Amino acid sequence: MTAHTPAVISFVLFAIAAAGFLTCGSLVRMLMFLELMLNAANIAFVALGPAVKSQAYAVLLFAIAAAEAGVGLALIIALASAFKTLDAGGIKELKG
Amino acid sequence: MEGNYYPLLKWILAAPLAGFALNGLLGKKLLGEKAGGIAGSLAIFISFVFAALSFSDLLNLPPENRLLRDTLFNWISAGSFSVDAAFRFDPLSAVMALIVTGVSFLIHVYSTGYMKGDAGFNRYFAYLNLFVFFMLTLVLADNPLVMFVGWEGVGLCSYLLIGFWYEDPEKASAGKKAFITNRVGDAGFLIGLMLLWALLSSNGVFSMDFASLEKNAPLLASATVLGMAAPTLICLLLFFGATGKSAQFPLFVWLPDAMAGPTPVSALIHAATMVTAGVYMLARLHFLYELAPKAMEVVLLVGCFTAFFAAVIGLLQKDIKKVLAYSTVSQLGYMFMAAGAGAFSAAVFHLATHAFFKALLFLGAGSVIHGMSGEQDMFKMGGLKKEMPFTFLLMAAGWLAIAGVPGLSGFYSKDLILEKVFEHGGMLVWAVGVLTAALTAFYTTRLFVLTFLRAKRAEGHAHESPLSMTLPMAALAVLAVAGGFLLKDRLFLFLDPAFVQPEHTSQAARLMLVSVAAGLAGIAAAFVLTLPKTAAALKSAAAPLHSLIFHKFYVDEIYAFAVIKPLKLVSDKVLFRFFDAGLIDGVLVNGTAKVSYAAGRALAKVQNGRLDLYALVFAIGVALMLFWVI
Amino acid sequence: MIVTASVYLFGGLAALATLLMLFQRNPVKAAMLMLTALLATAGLYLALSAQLLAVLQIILYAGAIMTLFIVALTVTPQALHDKPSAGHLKKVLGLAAAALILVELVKVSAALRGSPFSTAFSDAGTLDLARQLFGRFAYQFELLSLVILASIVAAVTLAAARKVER
Repeated sequence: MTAHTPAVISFVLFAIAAAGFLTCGSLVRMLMFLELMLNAANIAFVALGPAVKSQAYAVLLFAIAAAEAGVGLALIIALASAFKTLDAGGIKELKG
Repeated sequence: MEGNYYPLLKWILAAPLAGFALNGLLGKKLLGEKAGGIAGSLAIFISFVFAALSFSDLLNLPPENRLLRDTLFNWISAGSFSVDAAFRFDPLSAVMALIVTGVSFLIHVYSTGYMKGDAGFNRYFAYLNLFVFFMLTLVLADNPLVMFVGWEGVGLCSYLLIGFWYEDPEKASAGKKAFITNRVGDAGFLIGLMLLWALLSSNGVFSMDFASLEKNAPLLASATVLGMAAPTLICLLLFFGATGKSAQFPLFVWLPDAMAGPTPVSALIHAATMVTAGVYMLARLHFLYELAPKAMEVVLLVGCFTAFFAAVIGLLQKDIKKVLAYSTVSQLGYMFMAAGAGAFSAAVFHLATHAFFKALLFLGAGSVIHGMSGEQDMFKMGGLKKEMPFTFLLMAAGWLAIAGVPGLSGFYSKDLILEKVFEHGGMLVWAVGVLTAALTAFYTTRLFVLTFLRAKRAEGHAHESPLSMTLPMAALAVLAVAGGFLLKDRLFLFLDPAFVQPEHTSQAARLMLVSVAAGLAGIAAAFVLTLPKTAAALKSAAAPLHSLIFHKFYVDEIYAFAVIKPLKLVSDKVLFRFFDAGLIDGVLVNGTAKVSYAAGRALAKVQNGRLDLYALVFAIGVALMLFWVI
Repeated sequence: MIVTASVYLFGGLAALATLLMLFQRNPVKAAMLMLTALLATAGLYLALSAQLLAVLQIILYAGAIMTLFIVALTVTPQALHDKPSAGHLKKVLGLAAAALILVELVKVSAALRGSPFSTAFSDAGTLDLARQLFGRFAYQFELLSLVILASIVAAVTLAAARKVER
């Protein structure tokens, strides 16, 4: 087996998750796809590079993903209570 | 450089300028009427004294070397084009300066009486002094550009003084008309000057003062511009400017309207001085005109036509001042006829005598108007001989002078012009000139008869004018009567040292008899035809012709239709609507704003606060980057 | 051989689950599919001989993160009843962008065909990993604890803020 296989798998996963991230309309969904993208990136780390070092990187990424998921969900809860809607297009406070 | 340095010249100019400053800055409140009038008249008197001193110093010089100069400063210096603010005093300028300051002084004194009690008394004297300053600049200039400064300056003062009572919109627009008509002529003048400079500089001559112009003019004799000989074109353009300033056809229309100004102004500016600037210019540049015989022919014909045309219109006017205005146009035509026939000295002679008797006539008219409390319609006057005896006598002098009664000044100058025209201009022109002389005698007599003689038509009592007004008139009357006889040969000798007294031929005597007879016939006819019954019969017999003449041949109406209306139309529809409002305001100014605004609005859409769109754009950007990189 | 097959199997399962998530309307069902994808990733890790990673994947992703999602979905009624709907243009553009990214990445990965990937099981695999983590990457490891601390504080602040406002 070459490194090609898991790498392509991770790219495919990433692309599908990206597609989902860009086409869904709800913030929660976006966060879910975001986690999946990060997951795919994790796989990529494992696929490329020498075994031990890349796995160490992957461990670190786990922690970061968890932290990010926590903050994201807290944000969602706060946004939901503030705007009463989680539609990605509906929240336009940053409008220029 | 030829000519002797003479420092007094600038003081001739400085005195009126100081008078202007005094009356203009201090005005009525600080200076008051009496002091203002004295200051203004005194300034001119000082100027006259200086001019007389310069004149006597000039006489002391030998005839071939009569030239005094003074250069004040270098005015323009742009590469090879260099012009000095320089002044010259030679016989021609001496004559002009003396006439200008002398007649001016008399009219200033007259004005202290005429304008008494007017609210703008001091402003009037300020303007009048300023006018004299510019007129002196014009006649004392040593190069055409300084002359042009004076040319424009007198135009400005004319505008200010015609529209002196500016609260009346008619009077104000008369001033506008004068200025704008002048400007049209000035365009030709300037183009002529530029052409002159261009041609001279291409021949290596870079100085424009009159002495060097006279020396170098023959260089241009062979040059052609646009298929015409250069001197002819330049002279025609300069003459076009002269038609504007000196009220010849086609630019004479402003002079009758200029009668809206105070009568002393009409006397000074529109009879004796400003309108003669064109004649002066021709006399000054006589060497150029002598190189262009075709241009001289045009001058002759235009002068002849104008003289006749204006005299005809003057036959039927009702307003006393308008008759005199058309008379001025007609007499100026005589001066141009003389210039066109090559007799420049004769033109200047007539300029001098005309200044005397025309100013006298205008001042007399002013006296009548003053005495009649503002009435100007001759048909409402009559019988003033008893009520205003001084004015009657003095105006009689002017009347006889202009009619060409032998012995008075007008006779000598007009007769000389007709003689020269006969010699150099041809029979036809001479015949028209004689006919015009008859008409001149006619309309002036008519004026005199209607105003002073016959039965009194007005109610109330007309009072004679004060001494401040009658004394200047008396001085002018003396000059009008004796001036011709005294100046006759001396003037010519003075102006042209090479002058030789011509023999009195029998042909000359015959011509003289014809012109005198024409004048007397005109006087007699006027006495007859102004009888009410005769006049009415004549009017009904030739009603359409009468109407045409009475309406001044509809010249003003024709101009309004042919020139002013299209000009206004173009200015409004094309220049204003299309270019100014449409193109510049709409497209350039507003359009730029609108485009910027729209671009801003379009760009603002990018910042719409929608996270999903942000993410989308981000992803598209990444994809494209990858696409191009990999 | 089995290893390669299982790699393909688990990879395909994860991809399928993610794909189905795209068309799933119900957020809870979508969450379940996400769980499937994450577990499939854990299997993938196993097949790639990253045993610790597989375990950590299950504990952290499937266990902690997924639970967090379910809790958040339950607590916010808007999240539970959301109806995702994006404009057609947006969907097309999103799909196009993702497809383009995929194509490019695959192009890049063509170079990887040459490098071998060993999936051999080794006793000392986890030990080596531990040595790396607490040795060479000790600094990053400790920093991570700060990151987690920061995220805890942020989460508490954000989620609790509304209680204070009321």
